[in-house]
Amino acid sequence: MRAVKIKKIDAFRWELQQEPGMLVPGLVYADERMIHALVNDESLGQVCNVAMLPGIINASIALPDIHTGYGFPIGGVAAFDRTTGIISPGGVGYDINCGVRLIRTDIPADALLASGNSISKIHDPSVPTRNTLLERLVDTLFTNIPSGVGSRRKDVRFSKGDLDRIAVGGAPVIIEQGYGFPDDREYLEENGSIPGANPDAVSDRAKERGRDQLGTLGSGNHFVEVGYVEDVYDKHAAGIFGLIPHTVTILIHTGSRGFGYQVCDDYLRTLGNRASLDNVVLPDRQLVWASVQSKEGRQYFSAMNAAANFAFANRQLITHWVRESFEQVLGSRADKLGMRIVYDVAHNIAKEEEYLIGGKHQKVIVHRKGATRAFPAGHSGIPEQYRTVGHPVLIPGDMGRYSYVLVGTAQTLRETFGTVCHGAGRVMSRGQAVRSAKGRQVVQELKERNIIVRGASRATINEEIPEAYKDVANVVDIVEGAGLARKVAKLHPLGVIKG
Amino acid sequence: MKEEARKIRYKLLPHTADICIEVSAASITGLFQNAAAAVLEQMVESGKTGDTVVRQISLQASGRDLLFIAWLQEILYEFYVHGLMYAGSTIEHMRATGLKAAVMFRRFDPKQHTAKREIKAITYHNIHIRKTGSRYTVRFVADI
Repeated sequence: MRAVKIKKIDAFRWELQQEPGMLVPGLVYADERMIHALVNDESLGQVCNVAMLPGIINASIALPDIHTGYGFPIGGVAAFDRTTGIISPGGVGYDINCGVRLIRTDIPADALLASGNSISKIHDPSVPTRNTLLERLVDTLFTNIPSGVGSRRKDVRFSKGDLDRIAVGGAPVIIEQGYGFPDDREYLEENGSIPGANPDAVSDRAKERGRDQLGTLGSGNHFVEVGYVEDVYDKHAAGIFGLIPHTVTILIHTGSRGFGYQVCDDYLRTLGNRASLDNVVLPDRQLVWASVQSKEGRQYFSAMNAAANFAFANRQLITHWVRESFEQVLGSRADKLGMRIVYDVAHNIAKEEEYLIGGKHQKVIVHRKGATRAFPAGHSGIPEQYRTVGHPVLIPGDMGRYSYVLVGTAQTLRETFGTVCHGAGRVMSRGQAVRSAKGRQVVQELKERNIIVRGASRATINEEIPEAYKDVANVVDIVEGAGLARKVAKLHPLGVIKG
Repeated sequence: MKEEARKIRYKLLPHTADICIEVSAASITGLFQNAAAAVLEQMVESGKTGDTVVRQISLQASGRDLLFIAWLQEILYEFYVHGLMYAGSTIEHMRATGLKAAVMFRRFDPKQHTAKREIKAITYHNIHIRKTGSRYTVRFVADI
């Protein structure tokens, strides 16, 4: 394990001092306890590796959900000059535009629970959840939304032409086909369609891998979660987002499926072979890069944007089936149930954005690898409806505890390129989690806590046990303590479907 | 070189978010074959029955480590696009920058086989094939 020199800046900021090869220092957001836990972790070395990439600006940044990834750490942020800097597929990852969408409703959470039960008693294990609307709802979601390895829905097929249109147009293309409310697009990052996507830069293999997977959840840590608004910290912002205490919410976490995985693979291979032939020295082969303005750099950027648009469309199709599932179980139209999208935001992506750097406006390519955009109030890049408070920043926790909705502050634009954490961050390896779950009935344990879980594979559920993750409350407290974001609301899970 | 029926030699090493696999073999072709079998074993349970098909695979890369990743990427591609599970191979020709192989696959059948987990990709993170004495070893991280 490489020794990293750490210097405390304040209670929530730590500098990783420059070693030979590092062009900028590392900047880690953590508290005292967390930084000590990270000392023997490979992730800090990965922050240092990112600091060696040409054209990096200010610092290689890690947020408090940092954990070991490959190439970039998960929870990593780095910005590069748009003209002279680089773009790295390893700084985005395989699941391009993996992200989170939040749907709000007018449904009182109590309505989903058994007669005589209420969310005020939700933590009481003696209160039954069997045969409730909630259980039927989770089962219906599990039937309607394909999940698990190589999942696909046979009744919905997209042609190669459809796929090209989706790669260019993103979620609005799907909405126009009837899979959504007309105004859904207004509540999506970039309106669910990033400009500059080029399907010709995407291989046939990527299209083959993606075609049957549009509208599928996938495996691993992806999920659809039914929950409710447990706490509100900022009434004004929560009101603007439509988050009413004790009403039902839905979180969707998935990305670009095989389409995005293959785009990343293809460009890593192309750039890796070129780097090898040119004898380019890399701190980690996963960090291969291309100059932003090079032919390869532009091609990757346009292919990545195509995959990002695929992911927006994927979450849109799942949103449609979530609404359909609620309609089937509750017997009321989704619009009558107030099932409006609150927001949809990516956490694996590279974006062209403008920041004030050294007193000058500069266009940069921000890489967010397991990190969420958090533009504050007044920023032009967010929906008009949210302009006075900032866009909702969606931070899921684990399936047994809670998730948060935040808003970014002006400070995040100055320090972290408008970015905060993306979740809790794992603390256990999957093997550790499985060993910890051995002999336990995890689904039953969660049911006794009034959380209904359905999964395509028992192995995945065991790997995703709540204690495999940091407590997301600690992660969010650090982000808030550092002044990067403010808490708006806390969501409590009621039912989860896992891949 | 034809792959012989044998127990796959690999182990899982700790990794926080993904899975890290270490594979070893007495030959470089055996290393490639063991790695392919290990990847399949991480994705599917009871994948050793079912109809088989053989496909000719030809790959090129700028070095042996990159060729190794390309080989495993091919195994993933066949699984996700054609529903074919790696079941063995004869590597007919191999050098640092290319290989030709006849690869046997079994068709994935949800009635017979159980999918365990989705491997999105095989990463290049710290990839390096080592030869110690007469054995070849490699560690790689699979993104899941």
